[in-house]
Amino acid sequence: MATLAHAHRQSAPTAQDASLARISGQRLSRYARRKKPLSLRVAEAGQEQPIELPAGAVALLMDVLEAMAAGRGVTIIPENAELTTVEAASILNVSRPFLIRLLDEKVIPHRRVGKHRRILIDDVMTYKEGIDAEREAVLAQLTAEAQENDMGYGRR
Amino acid sequence: MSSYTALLDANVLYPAPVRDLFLQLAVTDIYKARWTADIHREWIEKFASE
Repeated sequence: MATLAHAHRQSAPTAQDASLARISGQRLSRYARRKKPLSLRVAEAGQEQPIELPAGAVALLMDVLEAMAAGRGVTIIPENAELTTVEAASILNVSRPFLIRLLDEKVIPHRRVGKHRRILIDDVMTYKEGIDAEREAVLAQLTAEAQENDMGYGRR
Repeated sequence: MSSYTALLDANVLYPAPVRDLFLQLAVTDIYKARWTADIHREWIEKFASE
């Protein structure tokens, strides 16, 4: 089973790399939106080499370029990677005790390796998508109520 | 995976438009939003007094 050691990390880009990423990202976005395999041609020493990228790889590359353009580092983690409780808590933005409660209540599946708990990144992301959707729904409702009840919207 | 935590005071939680913006940013994981029970009580009192 892969661990986070298999993750590919790229720390925050230099300003120069960030501006490169901004330009190439803008050029690539037009093609990435089509969600189809992309054929690139790389020119080297007067010769052109075609490179075929699957649609999924193009989408990921777009994400990487967008993050770099914003000056952020990027980590790509394989879906079967396993996280420690500290890593999972940090991805979810929760404390470690809160995460352990989620594991004990079987809200997020995990397995034990000796004394340590291991959590699949896939399970962490599934949980995250769930709570993010829930939070978005609650916020939308909160905003709608604030507008109905005249809590600062539409007044000067 | 944001590393910043911000304490939202009562004047951020009410009036609502600023609160809604800041909570939206928190849900997008740009920062971690926190407030206390006292702060929560304070904005509700402000709202109720108007």
